[in-house]
Amino acid sequence: MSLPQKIALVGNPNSGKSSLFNQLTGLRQRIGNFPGVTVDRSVGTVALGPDHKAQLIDLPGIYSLYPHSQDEEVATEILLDPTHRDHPDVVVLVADATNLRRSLLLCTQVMDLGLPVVLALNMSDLVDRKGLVINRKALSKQLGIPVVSISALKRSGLPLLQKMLSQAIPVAPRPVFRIPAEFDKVLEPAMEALGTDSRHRAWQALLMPEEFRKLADKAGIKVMDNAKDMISNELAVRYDHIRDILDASTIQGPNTRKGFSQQLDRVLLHPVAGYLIFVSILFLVFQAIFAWASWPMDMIEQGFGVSGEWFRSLMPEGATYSSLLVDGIWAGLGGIVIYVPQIAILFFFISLLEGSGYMSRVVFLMDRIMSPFGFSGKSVIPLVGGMACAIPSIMMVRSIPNKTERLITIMVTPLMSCSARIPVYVLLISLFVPEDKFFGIFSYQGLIMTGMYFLGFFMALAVAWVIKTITRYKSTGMFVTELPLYRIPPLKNTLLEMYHKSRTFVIEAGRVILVISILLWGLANYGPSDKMANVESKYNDLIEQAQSDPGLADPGRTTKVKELEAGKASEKLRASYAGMIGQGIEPAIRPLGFDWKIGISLLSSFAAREVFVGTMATIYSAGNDAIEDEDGRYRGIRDKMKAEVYTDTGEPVYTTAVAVSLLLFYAFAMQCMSTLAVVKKETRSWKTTFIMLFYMTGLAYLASLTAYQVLS
Amino acid sequence: MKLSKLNKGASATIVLVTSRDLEVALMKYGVMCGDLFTLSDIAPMGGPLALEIDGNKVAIRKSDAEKIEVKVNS
Repeated sequence: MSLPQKIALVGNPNSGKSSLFNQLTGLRQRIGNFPGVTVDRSVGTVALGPDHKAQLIDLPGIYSLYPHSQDEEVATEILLDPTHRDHPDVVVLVADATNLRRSLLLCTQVMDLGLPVVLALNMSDLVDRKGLVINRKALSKQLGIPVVSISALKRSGLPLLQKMLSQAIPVAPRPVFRIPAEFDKVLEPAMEALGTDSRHRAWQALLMPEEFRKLADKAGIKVMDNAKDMISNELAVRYDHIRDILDASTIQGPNTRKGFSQQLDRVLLHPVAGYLIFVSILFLVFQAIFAWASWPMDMIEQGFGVSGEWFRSLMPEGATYSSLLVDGIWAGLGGIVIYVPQIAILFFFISLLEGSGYMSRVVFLMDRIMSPFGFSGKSVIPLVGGMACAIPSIMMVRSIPNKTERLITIMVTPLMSCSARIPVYVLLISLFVPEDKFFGIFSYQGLIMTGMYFLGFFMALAVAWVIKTITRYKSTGMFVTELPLYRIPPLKNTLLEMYHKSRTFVIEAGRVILVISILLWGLANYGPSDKMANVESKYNDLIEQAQSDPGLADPGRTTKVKELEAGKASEKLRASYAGMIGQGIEPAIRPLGFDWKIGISLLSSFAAREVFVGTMATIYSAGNDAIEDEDGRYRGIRDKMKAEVYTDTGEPVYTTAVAVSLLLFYAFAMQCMSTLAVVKKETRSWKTTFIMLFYMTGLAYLASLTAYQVLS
Repeated sequence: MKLSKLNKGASATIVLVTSRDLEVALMKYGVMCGDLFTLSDIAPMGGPLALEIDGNKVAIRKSDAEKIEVKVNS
């Protein structure tokens, strides 16, 4: 028997498996994806002896080898299929010692596959408080496998576990569940198809539940018709054995302490107090991503701006590559890194909520309210998070077990009014709503602003309901979930999760974002060469004239040059490919009340919605000074926009109808390439990504069209 | 009687699960016929119910609770 090279951690969700993984591997770990599915694959290295290192894989948490979610299917497939690249030599079965009966169900199933198993009783310290005494030796003898007590949180028992793994581990001598001989006829062909001599592997494959039959289908095995009865029978037989095993190896003493978790639930699941506390927690999370992330984001923005200018100063003036490097690539990188604080902060909270056991309570409290719309109870977190930023919110959706609920949540989260829409809303609202107050305290502008948040929220509900109806999803079907005991999550897990999420975002989504930013830079900076050169030379001449004009004194001259620079930027943008596209799409957006200048802004907003304000300022040659005044109200650019009239008719461009139409467009349209990049990464489907792009933009078009046609 | 008819805080024993799917799902979570439980929490407006069994909690929907026959412990 050779020494184990590949070790898998297998256990129920909430068994403390991931804490053990983090303790054993430290930073020697990588988090990726299992091919083709959105399930985290955590692999690390564990040192077992002076020259014995093994690969440790943390399999997704499972309750049995009969999967009911994608995570469980992946874990089951790895354990059943010896040709899988992650198939382990040895399994460490992490058992929650406070729920031994259920843990042993999974343990006996894995043992029966013929895999060497070490049973690690985690949270043994909690067991004492329940008055349960586990005789480890007796348990080991009853099961026929090594048993070790550990506490992943307190790091106790880990050296012993490592020592055990450094030796060859025997396979349990006899199966716990004996497959009745009458099934030999179906088992033998299945064993052959799977290429295994294990009767239990074939048995499991023959009973795979619907939707999770990838392995059986691959081997061409036909699943038995009465599989559910067989499973129920098997589990009952196992639990009978487990009762005998536990009778011989544990003593239940008096339960001295009424559970802390039970008392906490009395408050946290209270029909009134429970919801108030939940709303407060949501508010805290929202506040954290919205407000606390803003100063590191400002620092990143300024840092990239200042360093970009510094790079520019190192390169020859006017060189094309200098603009490409600074305005294209460097600014694109800045646009990726800027989301890291929000991602890190949201995942800090998610990790706390999941690790403490509170997230299951959220599902319990919200299930009744969320399920009619095809959401999971958990969906409320990404929806509220979407009011700050859709990117980290969509990244957390993968913790929702159900595939359809996950898809619905991802699809509608970008409809929530995110913080990037705020500058656009502020500018547009100021175009048609007076700065007055009513009752002395409430401003009309603030009222409309609040209305925009509600609009996004109700549209998200409506679209969710539509998707649920189209896909004929029945979210009110069967649903069983565990409410685990509360515990303090280890800080190490939280910090590692923050690190991994930020890293994957920067590396994976970052690539797509970078390519699109360079493309957008190209469109805005290049145009037909003769046109661009004309603008360039015309303004260069004018600037030179102004500089040498003896009739101009200095304050006036500087202003004049600045005006000319702004005019040059404006005309160059109009002459660029972006300008041409803006003019090209004008017939399509004219029914919405938009002219080609708005068209350019719509295009450039694809980098990020707030870019709208800056682009408007460039087009109307307002110059950068005029964008934002002290109280952040963009009066400079607002006045320019208000004064804008159509050259042919003399009518003002920005009427109330146009402003409302534009407002609705920004509320619904998918104009954020970073969100699209994350959606692609999380759904692994270009189809889903494009459906999102088109349905949101289509919705925006219809809403704007209706509003403009009715109001004008 | 049906589990869905129990009041909060009541203790009872599971006698029969009328849906095979639900029975298997509950077994995976360590819940089966013959188990003594306390109905520890009920979410408002017809929301889920939480069963406490031996210090551990499992939540089910009300529609599923209607498929579970229980015997109230006197």
